[in-house]
Amino acid sequence: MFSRLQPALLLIFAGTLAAIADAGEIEPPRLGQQISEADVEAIGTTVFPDGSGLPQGSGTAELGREIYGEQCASCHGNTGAGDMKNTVPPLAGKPKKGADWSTGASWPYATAIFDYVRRAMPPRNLKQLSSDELYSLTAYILHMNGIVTLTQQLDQETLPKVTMPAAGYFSSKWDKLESRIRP
Amino acid sequence: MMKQPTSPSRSEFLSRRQFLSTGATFLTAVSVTTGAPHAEAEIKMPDSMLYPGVADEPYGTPSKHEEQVVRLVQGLTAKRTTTWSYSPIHRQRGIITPSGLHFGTHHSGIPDIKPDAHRLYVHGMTQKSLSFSVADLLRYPLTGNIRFLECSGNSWQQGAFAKPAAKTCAELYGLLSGSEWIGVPVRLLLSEAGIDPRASWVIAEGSDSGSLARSIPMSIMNNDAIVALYQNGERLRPAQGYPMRLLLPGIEGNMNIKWLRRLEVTDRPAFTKDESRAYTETLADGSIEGFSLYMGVKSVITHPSAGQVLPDRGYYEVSGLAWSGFGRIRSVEVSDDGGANWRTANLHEPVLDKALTRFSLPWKWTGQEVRLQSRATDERGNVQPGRADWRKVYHAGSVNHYNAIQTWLIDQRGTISNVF
Repeated sequence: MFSRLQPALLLIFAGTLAAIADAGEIEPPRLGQQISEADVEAIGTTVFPDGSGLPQGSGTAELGREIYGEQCASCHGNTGAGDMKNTVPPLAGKPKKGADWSTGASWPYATAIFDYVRRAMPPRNLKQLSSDELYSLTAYILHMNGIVTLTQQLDQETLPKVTMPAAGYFSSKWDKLESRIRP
Repeated sequence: MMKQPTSPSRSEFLSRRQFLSTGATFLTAVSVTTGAPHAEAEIKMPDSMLYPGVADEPYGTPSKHEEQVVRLVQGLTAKRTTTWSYSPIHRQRGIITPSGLHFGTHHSGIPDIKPDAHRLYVHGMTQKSLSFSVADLLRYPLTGNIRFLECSGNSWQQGAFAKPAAKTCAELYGLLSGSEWIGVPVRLLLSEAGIDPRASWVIAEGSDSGSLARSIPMSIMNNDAIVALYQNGERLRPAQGYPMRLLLPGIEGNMNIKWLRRLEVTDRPAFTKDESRAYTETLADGSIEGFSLYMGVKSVITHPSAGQVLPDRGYYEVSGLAWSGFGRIRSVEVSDDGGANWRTANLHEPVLDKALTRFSLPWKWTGQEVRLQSRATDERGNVQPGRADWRKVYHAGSVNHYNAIQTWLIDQRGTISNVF
């Protein structure tokens, strides 16, 4: 009985050794489930400075003024001055360098205003504004900064072409240091 | 071993041998009276040795006698959505912050996320768009290490105000913590999706109400970045991103996206809101610098520090924390004369890559006014700047990435305050 089992035991033992020897070559699992293009479209909401990611639709500052009054003014103020005591940043106003830059004076790309309002504003009515309303609100914030006119239409094509003052005085430390510190 | 001073000094730092012979430590100096050898014993048996204790609890809690060891939390208001929780680093020792005392900077409150419903998506410039459940990620090889996390706005008051604010050590330095973070290497998930060789950035987004998003260079993601699932041996706390967060060793806290939902592979940064003002610096010439990413070499003496009072003259152990986003701490020097003379402090093991490092130095307070400072150097040779040098780089009012040498003024009454 014992002698008959021996070859089997040896095989098991040999098998164990092989698995340990190969352990370093065992690939990590690949458990990601593929998702559809429609799902990617639904989750991928980042707007880039070149306008990629912007939805269809359009708006003007004229239309945005009313939306701003309803959705934004209670915290950011009628003129967009903000309320830094409550850490509500200024959207517009004379550039105050350092801690209290306004959005209009410090953000290098107008597309980021659309992106951020769509993500996170207003905090108690999140992700409820239509694309047209978002274009109009973006236009009104830019208008408060004297960057677009009341009637200038903003959409997928025109919003990325808006030039922000800060584009002329924004630099990336990563670009300066990358070659020296990159991992 | 402690090095000898490089120059003659009026400072009162002690050799290790001198210090050990005194047997005293900070805030514990007591005068011992010697009783008569044959008098009746005054020491009574404590109640804890006379009555049975209580039952243990499923999840342990700190001693009720340590109720003062809590964070300073600036909470939500009707208008304020950004909040800060400052860790009491002046009451901690070692290099690990208890998870419940970890600092927090929140822009949209703390969400409650059901782990079974949560998914992490990897998509963009990839061959495939993938979805991972929490259970999936727990089956991958889990790696990580002890790392520091620091809010880029830690010590913001030192940049914001022209005069030193009357603040405590925790208020000035408490947006800093150290933990063991364990999770799945980001590079495994990216390679599973198949990265387009032209890709160079990844947009990471959280599933908080503000959908906080940051652009992260691909080289950092492929280096030591992990999707963290465990902090200090247990699954993440909700305030630290449960069920998963991005952990980028050495990189400013805000980019370590909590409640991680999406990794979008791309070839350029998105210039999100937090890359457009909130997490940028204003340089001396008035221009704006963003994407600073790495937290600079920095240190602070936590014992003693502002908010404390030295009870008496005599022997203290000066102790503090040093860290650098660029690697390990090489050395820390301590001065008690405002930087005229420096002594090399003892570094406590372990000294780890991009982790808090504990330093200490025996010291004697003579009752004179002193200006106590620490200066850290990292393994790449970066030296913590003096405040004047830091100020030359940045515009007045620029608050982020403040890493200048801290000065604690100890006056003749032993009161300790923040000075420049």
